[in-house]
Amino acid sequence: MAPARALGYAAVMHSSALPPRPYKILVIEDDSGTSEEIQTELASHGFEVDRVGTAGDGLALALKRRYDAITLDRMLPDMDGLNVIAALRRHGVRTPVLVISALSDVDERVRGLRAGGDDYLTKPFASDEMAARVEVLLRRQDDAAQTTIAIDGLVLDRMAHAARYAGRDLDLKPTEYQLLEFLMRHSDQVLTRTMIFEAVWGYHFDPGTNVIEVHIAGLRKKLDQAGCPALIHTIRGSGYLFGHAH
Amino acid sequence: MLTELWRITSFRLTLLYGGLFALAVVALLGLVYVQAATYQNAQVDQILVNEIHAFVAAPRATLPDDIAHEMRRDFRHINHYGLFDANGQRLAGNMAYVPYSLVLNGRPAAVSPRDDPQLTAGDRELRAVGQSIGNGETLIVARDVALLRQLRVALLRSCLVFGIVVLIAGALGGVWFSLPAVRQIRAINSVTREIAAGDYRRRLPLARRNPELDRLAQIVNAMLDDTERLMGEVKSCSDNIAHDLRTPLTRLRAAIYRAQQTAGAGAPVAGLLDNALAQTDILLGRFRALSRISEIEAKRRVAGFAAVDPAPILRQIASLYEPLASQRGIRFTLALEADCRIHADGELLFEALGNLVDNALKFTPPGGEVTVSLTLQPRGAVIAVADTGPGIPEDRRRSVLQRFYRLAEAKNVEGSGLGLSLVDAIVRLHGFQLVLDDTPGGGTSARLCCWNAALEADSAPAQRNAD
Repeated sequence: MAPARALGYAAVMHSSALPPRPYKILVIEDDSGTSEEIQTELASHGFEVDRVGTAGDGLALALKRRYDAITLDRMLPDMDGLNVIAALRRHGVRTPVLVISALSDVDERVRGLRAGGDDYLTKPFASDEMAARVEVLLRRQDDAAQTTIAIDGLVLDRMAHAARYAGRDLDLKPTEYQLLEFLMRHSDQVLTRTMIFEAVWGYHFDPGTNVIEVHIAGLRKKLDQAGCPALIHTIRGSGYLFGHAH
Repeated sequence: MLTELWRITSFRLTLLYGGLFALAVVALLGLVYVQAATYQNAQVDQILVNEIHAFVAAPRATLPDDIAHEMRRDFRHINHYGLFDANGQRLAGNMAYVPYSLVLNGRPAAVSPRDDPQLTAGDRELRAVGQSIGNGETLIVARDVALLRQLRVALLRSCLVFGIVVLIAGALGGVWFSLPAVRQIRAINSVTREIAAGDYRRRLPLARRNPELDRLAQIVNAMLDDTERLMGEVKSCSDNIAHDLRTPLTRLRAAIYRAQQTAGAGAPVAGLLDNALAQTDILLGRFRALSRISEIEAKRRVAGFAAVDPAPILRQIASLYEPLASQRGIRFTLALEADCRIHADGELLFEALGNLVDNALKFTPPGGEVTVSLTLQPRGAVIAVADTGPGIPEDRRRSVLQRFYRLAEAKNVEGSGLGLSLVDAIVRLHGFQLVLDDTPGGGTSARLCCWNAALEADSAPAQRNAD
């Protein structure tokens, strides 16, 4: 089984003492084709998915049941998706939301979603990219205040902006540190090129070609030189995953 | 404003008409004056001659009485009489002496202040006639014509006043008639600039007070309708293809991805599926780029625009592309020589510059150099991306901005031919200029001139800040 499919459960087992329960996701999307595709993809990650076609139904359901994340089309027949979020927050529902928006509808309010702990994705999107973002949203609640992250002997000191392996400091450029930090904060999650680009450089579009690949290669080389095991894995067709050496 | 008014034909015509009218009126009044003056002079002269003839024809003995009688009848006191003996002593009348300049030949002549200051004292001007009547005696009859002169002055004054009034009225009328034209031409100017900047939805305004201008505007508007329709057809053709194929392509990718995930890494078809997925991703990337260009082109709001410092954006560009450059053996230099703000959307600016740098790295051979620089010129900031690649032939520099256009030399380099189109769309959205040029010593230099020429024509660039 490919790593990506197992994550839905793995993440739960890492973060919770309760018996494993699949994450529940609410999909608010009026286009049935897109909605179906989102459901298929999320289900293949082991998530439980409810689908609704209008903002009204979505709001009602989100207030009634507890969801772990919501994917929300910005252009709904009855309401601007952003108003759904505002309504949820007014009722004290903190569920993270992934807004799916046409590029022409990406304005300052949509860009501001990131700052509020939510995320957005532009159409057309690759379904694994969507799933990867949902995974990150699910994990985002847990990781906020960690000052050091240690994985297989690689220690990330987030206060000093430095990384150590076997007691030796790695010689990282600021960009390399940011890249490593993003990978380690989201270990065991598939991270796409676009997500990495957004997290490290702060821009929201596909940087194209193999710029990110080159950065990953550079970081791998530095880790390798420090004697660190290979922790950055390439996920075919999707992106990268930082995790224990297999 | 004044020079602008002067350029309006109706204003100049009104001024010209006003001037000509004033001239004609003045000429007419002048003619009336000359006619009236001549006629009145002639009349006065006739009266004088008649009177002196009557005196001469009367018996000599009654002459002093006749003169006294005439003087009594002259209520206006404009007539003067004098009968003098051979020594110049007055015998009758009210004139003190014989006018110095008067020739005693029975023909009337003027006695002006210049000729005889004493006789014409008190602002008088006389026409006089004198004649010898025998025994050395002289008879003078004169008439005060100061009233005539006053009439002449009044006429001249009214010519002057009327001329000035007509000229002022003409100028005001010209302004009044031309203001709508000035306003309409201003509106046409600004709309034309917007159209030239790519907003083909704008139309020239009609003013209804300028039929000629309106007809011209209507013709231009009809032309713009056609242009917009044609451009829309061309654009919607590629947009529709991109849009219609997007959903099936997304589903295709999802299916291949699902197949890849199900088959797993060890399956015999894994390599084939990987390749299929990679190719589909390239395809999707092209479609995404196409629709992104259309979306940027369709964008008219500049709500995301703010005063942006380009330096941090360029540093981020450098941090993103430096490793790629060094992997390809290309020296990457960042030269930030200016501190400035430009009015832009930072995210789009990054995307445009990223594409330029990406292009430069693609076409620069190993051992070459790519330089990104920021300089401040009098009109604003200039961001340049210079490489030492093969360069773009001068006659292709416009073509490379078209979608899917690729130079024959670039066929071996991976790419879609959409990068520069995207850059162009972003640059035009900003109203900036993209200049493709040679790098001294060979290579391409793409200069992004970060000022809005259309806005600049109206007002000085507000966002420039050279501190």
